[in-house]
Amino acid sequence: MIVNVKTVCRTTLLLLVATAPLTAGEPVGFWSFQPLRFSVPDVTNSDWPANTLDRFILHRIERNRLQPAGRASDEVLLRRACFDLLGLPPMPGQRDTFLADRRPGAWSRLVDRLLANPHMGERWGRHWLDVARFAESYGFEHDLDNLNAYHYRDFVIRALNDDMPFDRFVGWQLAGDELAGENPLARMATGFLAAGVRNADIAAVRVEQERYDELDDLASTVGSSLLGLSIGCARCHDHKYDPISQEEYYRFLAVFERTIRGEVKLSTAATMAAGVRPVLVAGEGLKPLARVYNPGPAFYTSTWYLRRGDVRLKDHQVRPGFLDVLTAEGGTYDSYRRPEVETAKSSYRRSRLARWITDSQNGAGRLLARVIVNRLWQHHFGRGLVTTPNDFGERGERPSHPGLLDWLATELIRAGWRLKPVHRLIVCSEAYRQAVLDVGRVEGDAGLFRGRPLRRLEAEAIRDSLVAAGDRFDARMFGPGSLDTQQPRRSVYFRVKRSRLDPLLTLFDVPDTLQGTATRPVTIVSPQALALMNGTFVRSAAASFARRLMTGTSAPSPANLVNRVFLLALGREAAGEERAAALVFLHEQRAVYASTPRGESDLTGDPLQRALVDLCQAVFCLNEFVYVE
Amino acid sequence: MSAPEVHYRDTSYASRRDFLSRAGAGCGALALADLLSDRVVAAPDPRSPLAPRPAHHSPRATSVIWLFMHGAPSQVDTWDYKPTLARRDGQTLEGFDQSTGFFAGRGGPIMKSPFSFRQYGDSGTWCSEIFPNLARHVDEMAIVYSCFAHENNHSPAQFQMNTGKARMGFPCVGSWVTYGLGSDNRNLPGFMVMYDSRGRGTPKSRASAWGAGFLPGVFQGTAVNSQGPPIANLGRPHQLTGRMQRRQLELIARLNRRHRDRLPERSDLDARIRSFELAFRMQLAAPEALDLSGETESTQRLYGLDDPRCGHFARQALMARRLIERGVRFVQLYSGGFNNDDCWDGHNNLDKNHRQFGGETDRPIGGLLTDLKQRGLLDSTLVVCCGEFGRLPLVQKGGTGRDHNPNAFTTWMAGGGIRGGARHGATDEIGLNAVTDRVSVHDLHATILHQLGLDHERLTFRRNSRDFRLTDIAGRVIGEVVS
Repeated sequence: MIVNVKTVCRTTLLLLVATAPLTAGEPVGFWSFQPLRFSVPDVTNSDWPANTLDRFILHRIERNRLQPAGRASDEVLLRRACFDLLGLPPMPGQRDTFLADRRPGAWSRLVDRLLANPHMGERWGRHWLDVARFAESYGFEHDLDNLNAYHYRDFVIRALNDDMPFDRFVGWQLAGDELAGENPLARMATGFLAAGVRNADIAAVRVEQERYDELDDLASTVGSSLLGLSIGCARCHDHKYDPISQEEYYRFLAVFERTIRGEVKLSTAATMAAGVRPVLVAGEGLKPLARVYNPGPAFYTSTWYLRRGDVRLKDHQVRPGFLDVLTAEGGTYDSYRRPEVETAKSSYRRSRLARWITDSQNGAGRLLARVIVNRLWQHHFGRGLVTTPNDFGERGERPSHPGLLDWLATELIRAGWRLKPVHRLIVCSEAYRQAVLDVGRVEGDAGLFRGRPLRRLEAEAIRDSLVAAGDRFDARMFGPGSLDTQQPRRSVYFRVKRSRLDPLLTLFDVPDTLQGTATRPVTIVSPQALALMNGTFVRSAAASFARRLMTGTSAPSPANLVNRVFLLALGREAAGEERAAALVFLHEQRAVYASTPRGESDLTGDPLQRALVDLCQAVFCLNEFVYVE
Repeated sequence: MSAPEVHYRDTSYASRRDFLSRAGAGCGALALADLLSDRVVAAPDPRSPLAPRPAHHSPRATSVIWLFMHGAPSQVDTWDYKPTLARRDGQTLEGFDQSTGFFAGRGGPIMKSPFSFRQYGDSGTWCSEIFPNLARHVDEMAIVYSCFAHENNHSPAQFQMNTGKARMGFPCVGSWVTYGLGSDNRNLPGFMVMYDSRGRGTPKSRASAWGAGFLPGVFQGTAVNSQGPPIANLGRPHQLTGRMQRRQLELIARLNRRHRDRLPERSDLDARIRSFELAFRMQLAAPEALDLSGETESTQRLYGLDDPRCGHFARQALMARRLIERGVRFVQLYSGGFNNDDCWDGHNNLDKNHRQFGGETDRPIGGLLTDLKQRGLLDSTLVVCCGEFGRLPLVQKGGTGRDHNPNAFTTWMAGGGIRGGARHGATDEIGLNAVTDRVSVHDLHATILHQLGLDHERLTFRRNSRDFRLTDIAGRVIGEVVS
């Protein structure tokens, strides 16, 4: 019998406690629609907190009559921070610098170095690309490529590295063409709106329905990624749980009424070598992308309220608008007009949306801030303060630390919407630096953030670790991606073709890119083990690692090699027992290779090096290689 | 005993713990002896996400073989015999909505079937000449003449047939079923798919056709590669002998154990240790399951392995039986490849197209039904055969083929508690629209789940705080076709 007690209890509680579902038009007291509010709690152990954030965490722990876990070792913390911030294992130089820095503030200096490292944009960009359902082809039967879609990915990486204020980051993705059309990066940002699936082979009778599907993808993605609201649920009827009416849904759709995808030539100096390249963007007045079979228009000049979401059941036309529940007096659609900058080029509907969504006074800005700081927390701690990061509505989970969430959101806005200061607050806290709790206590304590969870690395971090161990890691940034499963760049530079996702990444739970994904599942299945044991990519990564060890070690004795394998792959020295086991293994495999030479084209015939490949591969298979404390 | 209240959640911890720790906390010592002995251990592992789970009610079938006639066979040229077509051949159909097919305005006059029909079996079932072998099985089949879909192009309709939704990103039936029931073979994937092995490509909906959508990836279908090694990464690196790889795994196990002991009671770590043991066993089990050399010559002939016209599909049909026999829960087989003329998509010349694909599938499917029956497997195996929609009873202008028709198509089922000889629903006089006892794709799905002991209203998965079902908010079990 399988019963998730927690779920059952939660359901019961909801039934008992929850009031009637919120409905459109009523005054709303639901937590996520409220102004930001917090009070910094008192704590007993006032020595523990490193910053204000810690007081929120410690307060809850103490209220449960518990104590925080002790601090993790420097080696563990280094590995944790490198994976969390950069998605890569510590490089030897990083390790030496950090471990040699014995002055007070070494941790803070490490964090600053990591925050300034350009790999950070690649790591955190990938998190955002999940939410943005980014891909470079359109799915369906033909899965047509868009070879100029990667500029959006490059925009994201560049913006995060530059610590672009999040309100601008969001505004440009919604309306870069209208807000800063002269800036190529701003136009690349609109790739956000152009990343969804698109059926390019449709019968004439389906063209209009298809257009509404496309608009629905936009409204749904904007809702879940930026506001944590399932706006798409109001397509066929008023939202069953959240105060979003069907009328508002269609008004929201009308914001994008004339927005289509197209290609424009732009300077790519901000990301690649200077030059002008075609870039996939969204906007108005663009030449529509080709279809395989093209029986109708790319957009319609009116938006209808459709009964039951059916294009055959048009009720009445709607005008663009936002969500009432997130709009204070003075935050209406028309109040965001800027006649002085608007021209005939565009309808400027999206720029009004951008202003509304980032307006923390009269618009949706407070919720926007809550949703993004929760995502930062989620990826640093393995779970969000709200564990349903794409749903801050009635059906989502309530925050475990509402005050902390609001405090972080307030800090974000106060810091001019810059994300790196928030990262810094989180990573420099004592809460972040706790050790992993032993004896299975994490489950019950997860919502307390007492002790750290043991986390399996994401697919990209696993693959990037494999590549980074070897001698062929290619750290070049930006530019067109590749479909080559053997490519030596970071995984974020795979070309994301929806019908041809990298098989290794797919095994380790990369999202299917069809809808935005907030939390990836973590599956543990034997095809993953098979890929590590037998896959050609892993085998060649092991050979590459062995080559690096042989050439980089002055006297490659087995003992030296074993030490280096552990240090580089696991970030620590081998324990005596481990070293002994590895040496026996190396010895035995070497003996077999020495007696029965079997050709391997990319290796010298040296039996030691060939045995070392087997050892490197074994280490790649270890739990410790793919789990971070 | 039932498991309806269980919701896997897509939020961090809950799902993982649900999968991995439901038999209690950690496991004891690593079964290294098993790992090293080459012994194929049959006992299922209750901690695996694919561990068998109890059904909602007593099942009539324990496994499914789904024969997907990709490209959409014409109902009026296969099972749904319409003598009126011959009488009205060449007449314009008054009032025909030209937007029904894919090519608006290309619907020509009524076209009779190029094939002759005869009645077979005690049931007196009409069957087209392109299915001489299947015709002998009509009394084992329940035939539903009144199916309809909502989409008039292939990939959305295939998504609908596989997932209930015409959009991408939803779990397909095989994923739902393995999610609901697990699988009885711990050494093989629970859901396997075979598509065209003649190099004509995937179905038009590509690998999304067997995608798990928002269900965890473990539930997605494993495609048996049509060329080269049947399953990815099954063969060990050429540098390693079996003994050398075993030594490697022994080292991994030893170091993993040490790591785990430092971090006790981590169910994920234990699960991952077991995944390597299973992988090692899978290296032996999967090739064995797909190796047909041990099948007798008469069995091979029964399916048509010796016939160049259908040998490719025959091999897959026979593999399907071997997989089912070994406890694989759900096997899906696609007839035909990507392009129109490489599958049942007879736009240009229906006669030629359907003769070809009838020829590719008739003997293998007939052989499969005979073989399942003689081995006593048909009772527990639900066989489903359909396309993604039907075709118009009209000629498509410019050729002698037929355009798409979402408003009528035929599905047959056999075995697995299906009432043999049942005939359900009807289309109109010319087979244009399903009119009597109409059956939606959701109804088909509800029926398949029902036969497997699953209640389609109770098999749910919570995503973005909503409980999703295969049948959305619809679906009715077609009680008339089940015994």
